[in-house]
Amino acid sequence: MNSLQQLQSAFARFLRSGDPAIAAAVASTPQLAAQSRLEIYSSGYKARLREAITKDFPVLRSVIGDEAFAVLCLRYIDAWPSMSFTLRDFGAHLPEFVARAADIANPRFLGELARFEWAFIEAFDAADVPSIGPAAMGDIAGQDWPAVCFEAHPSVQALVIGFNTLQIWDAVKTQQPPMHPVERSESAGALIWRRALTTVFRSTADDELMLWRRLAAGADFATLCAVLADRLPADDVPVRAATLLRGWLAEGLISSLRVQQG
Amino acid sequence: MPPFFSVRYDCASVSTRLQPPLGFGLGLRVPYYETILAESPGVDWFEILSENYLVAGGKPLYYLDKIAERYPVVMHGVSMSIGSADALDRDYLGRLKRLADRVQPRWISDHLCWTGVGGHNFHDLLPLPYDEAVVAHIAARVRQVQEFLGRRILLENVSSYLQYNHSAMSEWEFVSAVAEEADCLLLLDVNNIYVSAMNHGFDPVAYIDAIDVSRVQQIHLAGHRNFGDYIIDSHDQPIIEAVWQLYGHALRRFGAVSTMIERDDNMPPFAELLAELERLRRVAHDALGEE
Repeated sequence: MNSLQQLQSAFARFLRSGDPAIAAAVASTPQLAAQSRLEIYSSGYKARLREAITKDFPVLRSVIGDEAFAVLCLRYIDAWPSMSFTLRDFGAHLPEFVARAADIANPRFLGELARFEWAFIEAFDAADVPSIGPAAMGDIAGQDWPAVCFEAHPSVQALVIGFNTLQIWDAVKTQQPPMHPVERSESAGALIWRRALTTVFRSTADDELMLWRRLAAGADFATLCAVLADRLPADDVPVRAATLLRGWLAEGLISSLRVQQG
Repeated sequence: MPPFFSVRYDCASVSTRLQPPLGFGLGLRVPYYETILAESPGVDWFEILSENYLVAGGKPLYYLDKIAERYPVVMHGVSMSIGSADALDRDYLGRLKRLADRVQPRWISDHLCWTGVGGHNFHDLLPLPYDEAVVAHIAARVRQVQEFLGRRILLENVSSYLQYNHSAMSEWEFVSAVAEEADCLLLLDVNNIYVSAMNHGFDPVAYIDAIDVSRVQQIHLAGHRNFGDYIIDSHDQPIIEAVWQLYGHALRRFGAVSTMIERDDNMPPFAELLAELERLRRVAHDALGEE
């Protein structure tokens, strides 16, 4: 264990899995044995990561309880060790991890709840880009509308919601009695984004979420109308499309629009 | 030399490499943003935790920009992992440089430690073995970082809870050798010296007396938790009396050095930190007045 690489790899194995090989390289003193000295680092490592996800997923913790959350944290730390320079990113895989967990009750609901909480983290420090308002629609000539494309504000997170997740989140945040998860008969959506410095959210109908996702992926206005036409009578399409678009612009969800050439 | 490390920094002579002291500062922490903006408290400068601002936008950068307009700011990082066997993280260094371009900090510091290996980050300031090979390894990396950032960096001595059997020199010999070979500056954490001295049984005064005066650009003070058999550098308590005394000794050796108080947990009302900052001014005044 003479090279720095070997020493640090052994230390890392101790931190991650308790492999005791590193102890032979560590000095014991009458005051404190090598093993106890090492355990200061291993307990600190797990505590720091647990603190990061406890801060980022307070509602998930409240719903499953402190004990189950502590177990979940330890398993997540083992499964997804931090690969980022910042603890800010550590919880990014927790929603997926929870959703696929085989031994917790209702993992699909809990994964959705975790995804909802993580969306706030993503919106909170997304890039500062000005939004455009509905007035921008007036700058587009009538014949150009089919080719108009949009750029979503970088903070916008669009999620499929299959349970009463927003109600449960709200009940925890406002300290109401706990609610049981109930799967919705039809899925809906949620939009989470930042207006100036404040993160906001609202629920959406299923068709709005689908259309928003197409817009954010770069679809032009003609394509968005065609998507709606699969669901609505042809006469209703222009009004619904214009209403949704005006709403998104008014809410600050769009940072630019342009006419796609050729 | 690849393009990444192509920027040359200005190699000032020994006598001019230290910047003039900024006075007495605090760590910039979220709970105090609004108070600082509303009351413009008498803090000479703020130290930021660089990683908290290596984000795309939102509140962190909004408040940082506002506060940097009013106060001198220095950047203090925890993720350079200068002592790791892994390659330097160029993405991280690029982000750090862009933040420095935005904030225009008086200086940039990180820790003499390693924080991860094999791509894994343990988000801790992990201890290094002290020998010539490690000194050479770190010094070469510091020089690369300094060339990339276009400035000398400061390295901070960390609190440690273990030492390696095969270390061939004392911690203060190691710190001094890295600074000399890398031609970097030092951020001397007086609380860390105290914590490590108690954890390993060395004389903290001997440590301070061995450090080259011309390399100490900044001093940290903080509180810790004493568990009897060992002390943890927790930054969640007021500074203890023995650390104040050690700081006084340090100033009598180093002269006026920019000093700040780190508080990262168990956050008190801002007025309590201002009171601790006032004590810092008095201790420094008394120490320097004795010369």
